[in-house]
Amino acid sequence: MSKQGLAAGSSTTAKDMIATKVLKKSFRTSEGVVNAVNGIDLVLERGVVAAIIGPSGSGKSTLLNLLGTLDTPSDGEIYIDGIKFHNLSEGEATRYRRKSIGFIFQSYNLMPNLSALENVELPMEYTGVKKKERQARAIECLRLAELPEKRYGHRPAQLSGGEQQRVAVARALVNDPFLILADEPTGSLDSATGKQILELLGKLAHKERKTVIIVTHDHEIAARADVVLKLKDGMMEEIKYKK
Amino acid sequence: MIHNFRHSVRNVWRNKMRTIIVLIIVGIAVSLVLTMTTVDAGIKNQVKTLEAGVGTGIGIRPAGTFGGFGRGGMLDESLLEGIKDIPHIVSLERSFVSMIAFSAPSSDPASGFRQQRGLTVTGVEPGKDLELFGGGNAEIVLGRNFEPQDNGQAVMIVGESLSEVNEWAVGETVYLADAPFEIVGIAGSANRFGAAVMFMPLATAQFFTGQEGVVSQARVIVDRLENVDAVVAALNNALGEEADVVAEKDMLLAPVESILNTIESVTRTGVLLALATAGIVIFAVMILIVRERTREIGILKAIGASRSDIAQLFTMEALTLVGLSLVIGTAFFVIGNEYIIGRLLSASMPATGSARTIENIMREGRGMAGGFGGSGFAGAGRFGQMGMTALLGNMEVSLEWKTLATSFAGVIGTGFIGSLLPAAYAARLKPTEVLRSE
Repeated sequence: MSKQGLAAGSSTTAKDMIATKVLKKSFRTSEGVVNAVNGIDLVLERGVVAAIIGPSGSGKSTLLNLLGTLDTPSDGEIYIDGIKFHNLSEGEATRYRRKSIGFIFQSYNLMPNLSALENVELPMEYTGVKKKERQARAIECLRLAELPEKRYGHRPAQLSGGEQQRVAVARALVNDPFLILADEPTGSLDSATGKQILELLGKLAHKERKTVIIVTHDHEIAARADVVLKLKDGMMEEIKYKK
Repeated sequence: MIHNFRHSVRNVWRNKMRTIIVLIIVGIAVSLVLTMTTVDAGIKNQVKTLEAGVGTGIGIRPAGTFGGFGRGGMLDESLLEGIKDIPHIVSLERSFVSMIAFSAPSSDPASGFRQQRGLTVTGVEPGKDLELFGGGNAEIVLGRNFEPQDNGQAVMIVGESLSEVNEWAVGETVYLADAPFEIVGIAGSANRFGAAVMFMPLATAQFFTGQEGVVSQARVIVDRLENVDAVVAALNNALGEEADVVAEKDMLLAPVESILNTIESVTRTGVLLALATAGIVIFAVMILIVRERTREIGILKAIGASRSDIAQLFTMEALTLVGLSLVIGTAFFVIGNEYIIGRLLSASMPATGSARTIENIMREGRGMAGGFGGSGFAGAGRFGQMGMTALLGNMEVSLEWKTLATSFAGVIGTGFIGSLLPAAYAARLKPTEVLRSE
């Protein structure tokens, strides 16, 4: 990783990189066309934690959805680990997303009728991993996410917010993705638990060499990131690097 | 596929109360489908039984007598010679009935007067049953039946009541229109008219009544039920306008057909309504479930579920509900079918007194339809009412595998169709739209 986590001068299509070129997303509304993301260029190396900050409506979540292939860009290019993600059909996007991207949400979004272990196993069901292997891998990821073992069989309603978010982190990790996208991952947690989750994400990024992109309003969280991307009106207003 | 099925089965129980309500409603619809299809199948089987009970007889009568306004004449025996070679005919029975008038001593012999009396003479072929035109057969209670050598001889068999009234006994010689006849047997019958009848060998009856070479009607027996229609056509062709040819099965079953059709249309409408109810309930509950779980659908898509995974998940959930409903519906059917079917059939049955067996009804129907000349249709109509009692009263209704499979296929198909739209809607949901609140 370069000092700033930003791969200056590297090819945007190279492996071990996440990159966008003049990325745009516009929506039609009753008041006209809104350019939610308006020409963003970005290159991030593997193993960095990047925070996207900005006021409401600045395009943070839209950018996250585009990077996560949950939405398709109106224009521009996206490359993740050397794979072109911007022109994919829905089916192709789903297949790449399974393998390359993990999601963490503010409200955890675990399946309420499944145990912690089963929730973590779920993404592997879609990649066709066998039951035994699935279970072993899920346990491994729950350990990485530091969920106490006695909680593996508990359902989300029986877990605390912090524990639920640890399960969500394990679920995001389980298919060994290149990129982890986290939308306000500490938004529903108290500050101490939030801090623990951020430390966990940092550890995963640096130890497991995952690129973690966190959308947040919290400047304290942003201060812990390797790179801070400040958006305004769908454009990159400022990029800050960790000193 | 398997993991989607596993999740579907588990998801069914996420809202237990709703699931139980849905299972009860769809279960009732399933039991109604089973009930209706069982009745439908029962009616079809009963018609087959009825046809088999009617047998393969074909009635041949002088032209016009079946219609009620015909000539009511006699049938020339020479006509019948030409039909013997028609394929599939196994026997030909000729019947003869004629009224004779004769003068007899008055009931007060001292008066010295004679009075005119009328008697119905039935000619039968020796060796065959003493068939009554009023329906059924008479049985010998004293003496003997006719033997081949009796044909043309002055012998007769009298009904029980006739013998009692006239104090006639077996071996006695009595005079009819001044002609002596030896009584060789006395016949009994449950039929009041049958007990008053007088039988003579066919040739004797023809000679005695001055109607040689003619019969009242004939009846052919065909080897198999499926050949009856072909033989009717061949007989019509051979006999032309001289005779009316009617298969007993057609004559006897025609009146009940409209009632059967009514029951069939009621059961079919019931099946359609029950299936529609099941389909609508499944559709409505799946729409509700999909709307409740839009967020989950977004999450599943985000973590790698494809459109087909989502569609499978909800279709299988609907089919799981249908599958459980089939079990519950079958249980409802087992518990309540006798009562429901009983109510359905009793509502369809005309009130005609005591139950009769199909065979008896057949016999009565045949007798009535054929026995009173121009009143043939009236007899058949009455049979229709009584035949319905027999048809439904004796109907054996049981759930057959074929009926079960057809009903299940119908309900599963309806449930599947009911789930398609909600599943397609779920599959098309965009994760960004449902996760927007994030």
